[in-house]
Amino acid sequence: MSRRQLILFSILLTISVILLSLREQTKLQLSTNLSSVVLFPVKTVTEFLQFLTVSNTRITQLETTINKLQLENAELKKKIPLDTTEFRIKKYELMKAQIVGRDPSNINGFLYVDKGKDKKICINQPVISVNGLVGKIKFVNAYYSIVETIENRGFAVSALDVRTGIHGIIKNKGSLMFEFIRIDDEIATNDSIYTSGMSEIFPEGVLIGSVSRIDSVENPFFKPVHIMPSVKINRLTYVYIILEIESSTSGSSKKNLPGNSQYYSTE
Amino acid sequence: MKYILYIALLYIFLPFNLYIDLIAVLIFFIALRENERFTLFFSFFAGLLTDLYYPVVIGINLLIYIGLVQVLLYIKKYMAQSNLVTFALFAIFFLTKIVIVHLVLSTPLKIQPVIITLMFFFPTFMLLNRLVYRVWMKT
Repeated sequence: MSRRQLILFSILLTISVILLSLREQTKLQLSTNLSSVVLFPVKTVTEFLQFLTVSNTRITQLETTINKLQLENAELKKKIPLDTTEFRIKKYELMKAQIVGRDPSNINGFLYVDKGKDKKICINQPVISVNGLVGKIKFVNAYYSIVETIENRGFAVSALDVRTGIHGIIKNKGSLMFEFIRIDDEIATNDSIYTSGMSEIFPEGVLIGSVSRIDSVENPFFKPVHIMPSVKINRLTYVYIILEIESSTSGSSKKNLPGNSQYYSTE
Repeated sequence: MKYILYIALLYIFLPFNLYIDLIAVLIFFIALRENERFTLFFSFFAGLLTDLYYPVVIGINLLIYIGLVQVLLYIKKYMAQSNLVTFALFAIFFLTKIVIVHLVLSTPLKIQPVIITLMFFFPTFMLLNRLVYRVWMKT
């Protein structure tokens, strides 16, 4: 054994013995400081591997979740087309009818149309035109029918202000009035008023008219709202009678059931 | 260059030291093949790393490795270079280390890592020979 080797061995041995004989607190502090430097490569690699392991576990969990969601999505997609079909396939079967006469005593209140029982026309079937709601069938004969229009005094239909969602009743009291609108309701002029569908006669979504005027308060609870009808009854030549709603999913048709008029067609 | 390789191998073997004591094999290999001063430094560093990575009693592996390596360096010149002698020498070196550590720390001896280390001694030793000296067994 060379002298240098012996000296080196002695030094290293002394360091080892000193390290062994240190107090626990000092050992802990020393090992913390030393390991942050000496074990840096190992710790970095170990932490990276742990990160990969955790990431792998997380990926597996996410894949499982994705699979579940995909299955759920597929199940929901199976349902959605059915619902949509059911929803969209509902359309009104319309019958075009020509106006053949008017009541001389109430020229815009009642219209005579050239379709009657022979064309399966029934009482209370809604009548519309391109511009909106016209009225409903009041009387049916074999070959003609009488339509009560919105301009006939006493005509009423449940209605909805689409901008605010306020429900009320349109009633003809000489002029069209939107009734049961409370004082604090934020209804404004030019608001479009549609049928609300809360009726056994009229389907929802048919344009009635727009707010023309809101009078100053006379009633402590409700305010009088005047409606300008969208249809000019005195200019009409043709109207459309809503016969029934077709539903191709069931293969049968439902008579006079209100649906969403956004999907009505003249087919 | 080979010293860097030894350090790299030391860091690679460190996380697996509980299952197979490849650091002991590496120190033994260096003690037989390299010069004394590097061997002493390396065993010191290896002991320090082991103590820091598996912190039970800091300094115990340091002391054992330095002591055993010094003994190994002293007796290696008197030993014949044969596989059987090399294996026997490593077995004594390794078992002495294990016994001292368990005696000092008073921990139960796990026999499985000991057997695995002894089983993998020759393959590792040959692999180290191949890596450093480009031969499977240096005579």
